[in-house]
Amino acid sequence: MRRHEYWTYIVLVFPIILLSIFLIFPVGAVIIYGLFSGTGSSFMETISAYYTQFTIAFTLVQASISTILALLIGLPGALLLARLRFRGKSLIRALIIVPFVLPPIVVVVGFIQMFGSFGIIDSILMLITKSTTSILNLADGVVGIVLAHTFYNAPLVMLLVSASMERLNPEIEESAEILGADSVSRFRRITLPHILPSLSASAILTFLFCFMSFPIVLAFGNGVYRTLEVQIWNAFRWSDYGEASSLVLIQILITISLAVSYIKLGRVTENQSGPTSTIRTTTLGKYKLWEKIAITAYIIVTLFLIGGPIISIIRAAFFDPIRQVYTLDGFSYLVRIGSNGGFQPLINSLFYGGLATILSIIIGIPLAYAHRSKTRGLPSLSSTMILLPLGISSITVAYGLMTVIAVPTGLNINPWPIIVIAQTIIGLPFTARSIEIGLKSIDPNILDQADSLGATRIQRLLFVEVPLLVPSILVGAVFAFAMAIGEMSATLFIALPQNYTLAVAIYDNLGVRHFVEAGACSLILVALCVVAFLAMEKISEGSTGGTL
Amino acid sequence: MVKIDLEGLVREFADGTKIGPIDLNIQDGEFLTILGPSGSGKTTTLRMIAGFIEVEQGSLLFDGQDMVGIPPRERNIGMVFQSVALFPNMSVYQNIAFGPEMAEWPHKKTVERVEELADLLGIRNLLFRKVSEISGGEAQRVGLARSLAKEPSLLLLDEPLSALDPQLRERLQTEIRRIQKKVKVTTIYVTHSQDEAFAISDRVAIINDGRIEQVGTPEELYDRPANEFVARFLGSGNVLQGTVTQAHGGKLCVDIMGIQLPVDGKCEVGDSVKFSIKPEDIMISIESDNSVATGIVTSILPQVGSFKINIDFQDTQIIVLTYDEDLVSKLRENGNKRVSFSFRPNLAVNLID
Repeated sequence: MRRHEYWTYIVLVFPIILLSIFLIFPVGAVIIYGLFSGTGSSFMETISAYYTQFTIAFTLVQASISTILALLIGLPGALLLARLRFRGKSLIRALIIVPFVLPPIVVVVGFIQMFGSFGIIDSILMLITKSTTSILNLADGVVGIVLAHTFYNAPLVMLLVSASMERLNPEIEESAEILGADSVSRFRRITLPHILPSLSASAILTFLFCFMSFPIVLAFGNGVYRTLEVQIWNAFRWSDYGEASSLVLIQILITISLAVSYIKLGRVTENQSGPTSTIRTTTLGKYKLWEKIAITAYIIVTLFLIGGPIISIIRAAFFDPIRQVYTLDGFSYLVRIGSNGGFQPLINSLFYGGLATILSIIIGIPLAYAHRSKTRGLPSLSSTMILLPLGISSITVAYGLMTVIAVPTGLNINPWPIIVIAQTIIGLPFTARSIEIGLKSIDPNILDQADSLGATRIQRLLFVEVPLLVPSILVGAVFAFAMAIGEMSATLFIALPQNYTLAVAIYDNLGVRHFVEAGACSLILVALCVVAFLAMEKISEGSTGGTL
Repeated sequence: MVKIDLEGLVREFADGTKIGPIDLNIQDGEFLTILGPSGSGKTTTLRMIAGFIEVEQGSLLFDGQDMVGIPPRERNIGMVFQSVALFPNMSVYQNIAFGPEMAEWPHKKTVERVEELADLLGIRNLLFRKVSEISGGEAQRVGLARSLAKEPSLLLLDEPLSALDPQLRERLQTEIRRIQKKVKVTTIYVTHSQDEAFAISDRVAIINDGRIEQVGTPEELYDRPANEFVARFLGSGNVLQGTVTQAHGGKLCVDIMGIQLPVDGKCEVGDSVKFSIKPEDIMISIESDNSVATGIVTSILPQVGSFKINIDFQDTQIIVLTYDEDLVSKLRENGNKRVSFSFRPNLAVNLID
């Protein structure tokens, strides 16, 4: 092996080693430790307990209902987005990704404000009926959980499915038309089979996210309805490591198999995508009257469900539902220094998020390169590493890191490095994937050209490859940052009060009914996310859908 | 099958491009090719006939019945697209059977029809393959079978062979022609390749800038191009322009920048005329004589069975085809490259603008 190849190998293997130390080892060790140390309930006790069975059943049922709803709402949107030609389409497409990247706890705040008691809808209903008590509260219990999950994942379905639809060769539809197929049979025989892989992929992804959902279930479940994720956290808090590890094992078996089937489907879709063809589009004017009415109704419902909660966050930041007044208390909380103030969480969010972003990029670049390396075994190893965090829940990561790394090293006294590591691991799949897409899109002829002009390996890397990669690295960085500042599950699990981030502070404030404070924190997070993603759209010019 | 008449068909697009008015008649069972450069409107015309593009003015008659406003699926048309566009989620059999199934044919009849077409096109062994498992040429055959399955009265082909390599293209041209003759379906074929159009068609319509320039059999078009565009596009003519200096009983003398050339035609003295002469009708001789036209040889290209000689005549390119190897070797040895050329006056074709 030549010397530079040796060094290349070291660089490419380094992130894989890091992930083994901070992801595979802790998760593996904590499962074994919990199951065999005899602390708390045994595996058999756990799974035969009625409560565990209820939790598993509830986790599966809510994820299934949420997935079906997300598909029902997302599919028409995807069809419209692909088919309809209208002004500002690229803006709409850019905005659709926003709900998906909003921190879940912020979604909770938006939902309470929109659909909860004394929320916007409730206030209107109270006004109509002249009632003084709350009439409608949809931001609670199972309804709240399912609605919030739908809000979250319907845009994902829209993006993935519309992207696949747009690759449908218009001549295929025309062939079917000229052979006598009407619009119903064209959809059934041609369009549906074409989008089926992307539809299944988005269904699996949605199910996976809902299955591992933590903040939404924690906030709306009232301790009665818990997902496995919430129950792991609970068991850990009660020091029942046996139960926590048993649940982690059950959860991991399900999520990993889902993640694997998602990746398998992804491969199929990539193979089938047509080269440059784009679907036939029409303007709204071409539709029949009843179709126009249906489309308008759909858009109103979608705006209500998806746009409503986002807009309501603004109201949440100023309106105190308890005192029924508009106030700036939320923002004075944000600048208050001290143990009751929001300034420390704000600084923590930016600091941890910033560090996690830098780490994600440092690890993500070699990981993406390893994925494309020709060394045998390296690509599959790296893609496993990229996708593992997708199948391992945030709480599991936090549980492993806390028990196996923090406690033995004494970091549990001030566990901020553990928070940064957890946030890095959680954001890494998105960063690495974005860089990998960037790498894939570099024309190999350009690199050969550089070689033929006499560039050395290092020159080629620094002056040709890296500049071409900068946009996708920036996109990856934005993703990592948005993930990190919005991350609540692992951070809540790990953090002591001095480590609270804004996301955790929102949950904390909701718990003690400090709604405006939570609202103000949410507004800051939303603003950060939106700014970051608009910047990203600008950099990547609309190719962000691929990162998912 | 069906007789097609296009009467004053017009379509204007938002970007200002205008197609038409197009007038064109296609006889029952005829194979007509619409030939034109890219962007000339040939595909648009075909798609108007298919019904994918709405017609703004004029009428489109199938056996006298106006089809404007009738959706494509009710026009009883078979169509092969540029990308062939086989359904990727179906087998070859399912692709071919799609049309009959949509028309709700009885199963037995569908199977028989698919098998008949598969035999006709020699793709019987492919019927249960996936579309992703067949080659480009096979895909073309499947596409053709699919478009014919429902026994359409009109077959439209939109540059179906443009993505194939030349040898395969030639083979499929012959095959398309053979099958068309056998099933006797009225066929409109679109291409930008003159060779293809001439090899395959009964008649060819030359289209340019959204207008039909000339319609005729390949021989007619080649021997008597109606205007400069057709002459240049078909490469059949060297187009020359000059002023008539003498006119006497159909015999003209045309002055081209001081050189007098005899041409047949009916014009008045002082008229400006354009005429074309086919490359093979021009004779070259090495002895340059100041009384006749002379030019400089710029290149000699050997071709199958002939030589193509480019001559620079008063800054106009003149192409000459010759079979005379002695002449060519003399030309190659000749130092000063100046040659004189001439043609029989009755072989020049007057062009109308």
